[in-house]
Amino acid sequence: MHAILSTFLFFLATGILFFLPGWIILRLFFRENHFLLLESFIFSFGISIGLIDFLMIALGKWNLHLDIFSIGLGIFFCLGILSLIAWFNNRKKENMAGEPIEEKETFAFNNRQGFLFLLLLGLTLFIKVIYLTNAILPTSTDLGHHMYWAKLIATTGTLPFYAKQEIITGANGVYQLTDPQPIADFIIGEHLPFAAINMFVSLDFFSAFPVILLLLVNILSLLALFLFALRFTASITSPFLSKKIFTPQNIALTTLFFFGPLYTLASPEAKFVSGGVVGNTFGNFFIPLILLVLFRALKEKRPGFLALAFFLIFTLAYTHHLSMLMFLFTLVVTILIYSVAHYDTLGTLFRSWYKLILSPAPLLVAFFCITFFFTVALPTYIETNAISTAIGTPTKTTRTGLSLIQISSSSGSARVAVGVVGFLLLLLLRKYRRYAGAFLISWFGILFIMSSHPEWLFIDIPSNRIITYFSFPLGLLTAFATIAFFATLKNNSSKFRIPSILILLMSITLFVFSAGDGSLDNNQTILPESKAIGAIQTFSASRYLASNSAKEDIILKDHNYIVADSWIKLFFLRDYSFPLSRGFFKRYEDNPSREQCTLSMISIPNTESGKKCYDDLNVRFVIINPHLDTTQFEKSQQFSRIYVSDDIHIYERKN
Amino acid sequence: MTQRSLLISFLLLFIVSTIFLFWRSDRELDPDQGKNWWTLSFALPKQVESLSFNLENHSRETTFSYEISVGKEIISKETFIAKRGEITTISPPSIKEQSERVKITVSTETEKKEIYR
Repeated sequence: MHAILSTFLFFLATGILFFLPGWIILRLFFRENHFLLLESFIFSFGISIGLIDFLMIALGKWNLHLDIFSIGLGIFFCLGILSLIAWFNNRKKENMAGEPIEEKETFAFNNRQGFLFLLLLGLTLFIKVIYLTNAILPTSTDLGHHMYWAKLIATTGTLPFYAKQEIITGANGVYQLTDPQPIADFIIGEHLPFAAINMFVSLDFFSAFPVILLLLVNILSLLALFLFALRFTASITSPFLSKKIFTPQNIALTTLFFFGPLYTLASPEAKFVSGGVVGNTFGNFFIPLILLVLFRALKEKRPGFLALAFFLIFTLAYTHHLSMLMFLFTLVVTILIYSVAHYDTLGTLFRSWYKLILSPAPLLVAFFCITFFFTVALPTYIETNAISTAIGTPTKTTRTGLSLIQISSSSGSARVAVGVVGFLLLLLLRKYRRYAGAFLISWFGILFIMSSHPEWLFIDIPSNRIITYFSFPLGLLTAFATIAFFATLKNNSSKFRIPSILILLMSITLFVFSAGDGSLDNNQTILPESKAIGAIQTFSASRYLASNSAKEDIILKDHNYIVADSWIKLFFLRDYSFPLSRGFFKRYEDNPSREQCTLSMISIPNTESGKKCYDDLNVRFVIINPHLDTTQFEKSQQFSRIYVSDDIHIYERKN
Repeated sequence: MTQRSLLISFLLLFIVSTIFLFWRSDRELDPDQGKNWWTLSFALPKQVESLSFNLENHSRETTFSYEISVGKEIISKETFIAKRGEITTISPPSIKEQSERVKITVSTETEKKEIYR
């Protein structure tokens, strides 16, 4: 019964906050036939996320308390203003401009295709849910970090100052905690949606709702890719390809196959959902969505779509910096490739772009975005100059690029093999002269270079993060190549006739190869067991300490052996670095100039250096895993053991 | 098949998945559901003379015994009942701060846990 109530509250909040406003805006500024129903659905989500983010940022910056009433009133106010703009702007006239809209029949599904769509989507959800069965508890480190900020926003009703205390060596060699120092790791758009849901329906952060919201975003990104494939391939034709086989529906369904049931757990899919990789998950939703609307704006010469693209790009900028960087690279390369491909008519091309950009709707949205950017709030990564850390010649071995074997292993060998064929096919068919081809070629090409040779682009970002973006264009090209392959074989105008039995055998071979590779990847990712018992003990110990410690008491915990330790800070909400944490051992080895107190205070508390750290930093409580760290505390007369469970001990240092 | 029916079917699938995941997380977060553990802690950790302790019981055991010792000398020994799903507070008389370790040992037939000052 409680699960049904939670589900109801979750859908109530997401419906009101993340679908309804976007749906209303779409209906205000666009005609119903401008979008397929599924497109309206996912664009509503994207627009709503942007609206709620900017609304909450604006309310917070104007020192208004963030709660259900201020956000609710803000939504009404924004929609009211937008209704007025739509009325003044004479939307019918505005949206009549542009090329004729492709008939919805072009994208209609027959019963067999509809059934296949549901089967693939159902199977995808089923596999993801099975995986999440053992990963639904709030235990992952990244999700804990993000939910700290979300809870802070929901609890205080204000925007957070992204900062944390650090241990430094002060005057006379005394260790001390600094005042909170700004950090660039987080972006406000990653936290506001979670905070908004909590404010609206009070769903607890220690429940399934954060993971379910990420699952929703992940599934919507799958739908965005599906629609992307549907629209893009509608404009790619060739006399070599059978029109019966090479249809948008077939390619979109094949895309769903390669992104749905196959490779559905590995990064950046369900693993990112359970792991709480919030920014990437949202970024992977926004990138195909923006490319889709941008493609339509350019192809159909529709300023309204360009305005929508501007708004979504701006939303992405406040949601995830790495995704924004990937998107910008893709966009720039697309513009370059398309311009080079049309070098003979560059003047006409630039004039058409110029006309499109200098229309009232894109200009109005751009004006709003720039004003907001400079007068209301800058994204944190710009405020803290974090961009400079991502640009430059890569130095660490983890940032110098991946070999082809590593790329195959990360993205799936079947997808890489067939996807590369798709890429070459697009080049051979000279499809870079069309927007669809230029977008796909650029998306694939630039991510491949960023993953394999980041030094060519002066990118200094971990290569294993970049590679997670590569699977998107790769999957699309895999679907493209697969359908193109069969469309070539079945082409009536071809001089060669291939027996049906041979085509069947080839189909089975391709299916077995890709299904085998994709499901093997899934098998390797499935979690063997739940971490529930460990997490429950961590939460119980945290609750105990939260009610038995004073504000001035400093607490230390271990990150290596305690389950869900990053969630401990949600019980205190004192600082992002509170409790202090003994990090992974490798980090102390790799960086000897890093502070060593957090390591010494747990690993060697009875040595002079350990004691000095305790004295200087005034640490009173220590949370450890007794199976690995209890001996050094047991044998000391300096510590009292005040709390015991199977997997958690809490020690108090005597004065 | 219309996109409306595809969308409705998708939403239904997602709602069913959501109900299942909430149900699953409720079970996982329930300290008693399919789990067998208990904790022992000082009830008033900041009061050094207090020997009051809490037993949060999520195990199948309900009968516990405790033993309080100072150094090697046992000064108190009792048996008590702690219901599953509850926090039971036991309040033995306080003692003055000792130079030797004051230890509270709580045990069941199979398990033993210790806290000390």
